[in-house]
Amino acid sequence: MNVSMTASMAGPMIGAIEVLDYDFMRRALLAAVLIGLSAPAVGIFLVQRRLALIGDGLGHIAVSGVALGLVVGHAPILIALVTAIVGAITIELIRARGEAFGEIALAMLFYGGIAGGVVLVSRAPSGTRNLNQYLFGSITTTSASDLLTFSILAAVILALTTWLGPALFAVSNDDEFARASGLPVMPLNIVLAVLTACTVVISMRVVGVLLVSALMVVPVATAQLWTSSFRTTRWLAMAVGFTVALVGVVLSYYVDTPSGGTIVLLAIAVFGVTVIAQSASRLTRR
Amino acid sequence: MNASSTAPAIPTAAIRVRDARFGYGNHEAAHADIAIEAGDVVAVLGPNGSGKSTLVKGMLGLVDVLAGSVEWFGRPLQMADRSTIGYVPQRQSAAGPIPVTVEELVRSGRLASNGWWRRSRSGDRRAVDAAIEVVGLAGQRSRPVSRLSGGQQRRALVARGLAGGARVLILDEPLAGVDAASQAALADTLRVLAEGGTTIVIVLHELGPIQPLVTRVVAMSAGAVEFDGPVAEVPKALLHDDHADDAHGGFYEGPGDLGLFQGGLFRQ
Repeated sequence: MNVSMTASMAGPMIGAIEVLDYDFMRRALLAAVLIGLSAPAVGIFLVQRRLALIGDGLGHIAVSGVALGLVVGHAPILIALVTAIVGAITIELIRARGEAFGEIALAMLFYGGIAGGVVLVSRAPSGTRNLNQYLFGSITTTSASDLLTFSILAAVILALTTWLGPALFAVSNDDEFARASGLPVMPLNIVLAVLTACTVVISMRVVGVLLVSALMVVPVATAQLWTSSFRTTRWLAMAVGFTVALVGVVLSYYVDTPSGGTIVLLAIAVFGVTVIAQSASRLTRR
Repeated sequence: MNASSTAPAIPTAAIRVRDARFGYGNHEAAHADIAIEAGDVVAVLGPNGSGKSTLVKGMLGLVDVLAGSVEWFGRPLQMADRSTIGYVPQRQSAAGPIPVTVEELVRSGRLASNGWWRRSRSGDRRAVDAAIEVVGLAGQRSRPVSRLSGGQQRRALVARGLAGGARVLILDEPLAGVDAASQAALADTLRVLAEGGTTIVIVLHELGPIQPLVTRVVAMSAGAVEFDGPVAEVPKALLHDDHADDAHGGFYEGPGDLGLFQGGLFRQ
């Protein structure tokens, strides 16, 4: 019901194109829109905090959760969500200690996550083939219940990044000042880490946990080439994320390529074209 | 008649550092026993590694307090009203990877006193406007901080420190890497604030254009307070080279470094 309602809304906008004839494509497009909006909404704070690659690390940890779900044959997405959230909080606690081994501890956590996933999944009844869908995305596998989970997570992400946006900005922009001024830095960092974990999970069907970090970073990098304030960067990055995710899914359908890779290459291409266009316009102005 | 109304009024220092040792983990980097009175303009001087930054970070609770205590307006640091103190960190630039306007930066200094979970109200917007106005950046409020000059960026950081309604401003090396004209502009801003009654604690390598404002000098050396008193009484002995290298992990940043400290104190 949820899906058909959304499809009937999206239909007139996109036009009666062939992709909308299929249920799985309607679900994939909706999932793409959710991750396209959510990833940059969280990513902008990670980029400003100079932690752009933390989403990648959480993706690695989530692999263990997915694999555990495949082994027990039950709710891999929810198990991955719990794993990623526990991982996110652990990362913040390690970072807050700020000790010399912190970075190495993080590396162990990330590679332990992916290694654990690979080993666990070898025991899964479905074998390793299923894991690929979660690693790099596989649009045809998005189910109605996945979509419900993704919608709830995306709603939480968009609501919290909007409501707590100013505080998350203050902490991401200048951690030391934020502490001196009395903001609850650690709780806010944990909120951001948990939202990052939620983003990783939303990405599972469309982009995949190993590529999600690209959608958190690349649209933000593209947007800041055009903007002069944090606020407009946020909105433009979400618009770029939305567009590349939607166009990427449609493109992957027509040229028969994996959706995750297609979306990420498209996002990077948009960034590249923007950089070239801006350099060219600067040269011609001289 | 109760005890509190008969007790003599004891003047409460803006910041009281009681025999405190500050550092990181087990490593002590600064030791001090000083009081900053309301209305003071205190210059904390010393060579690199002398513990002057650690001292002000200790006042703010940004480094570990290994012994002793810190009070703000008579209240222990943990219970202090943080909106009373504005902090201007040592920073070459206020810019991260994403563009941030002067207004956005200054607004982030208002959050803690306003309630970080609340939407900003008209009073907050007025406080932000006033802070931008007082540092003379009203014409730049919508510009990204990264496109401002070094001196303007420092003034934007001062405005952020003031936006919460601070009565005390703590600045960590605000003149470092800023050209002479910008130093003079920043000094002007601080003069306006000092005349308005703001207490100022400023970490410096040299007094430079700030000198006319300074009511008191705290000179640090090797992690301890070596002198605390009026500018005119700073002993010449503090101006020797041997303050440059000490056992506290300071970095000698080049020949200009010491020269600034030497010439700065008494340069008229």
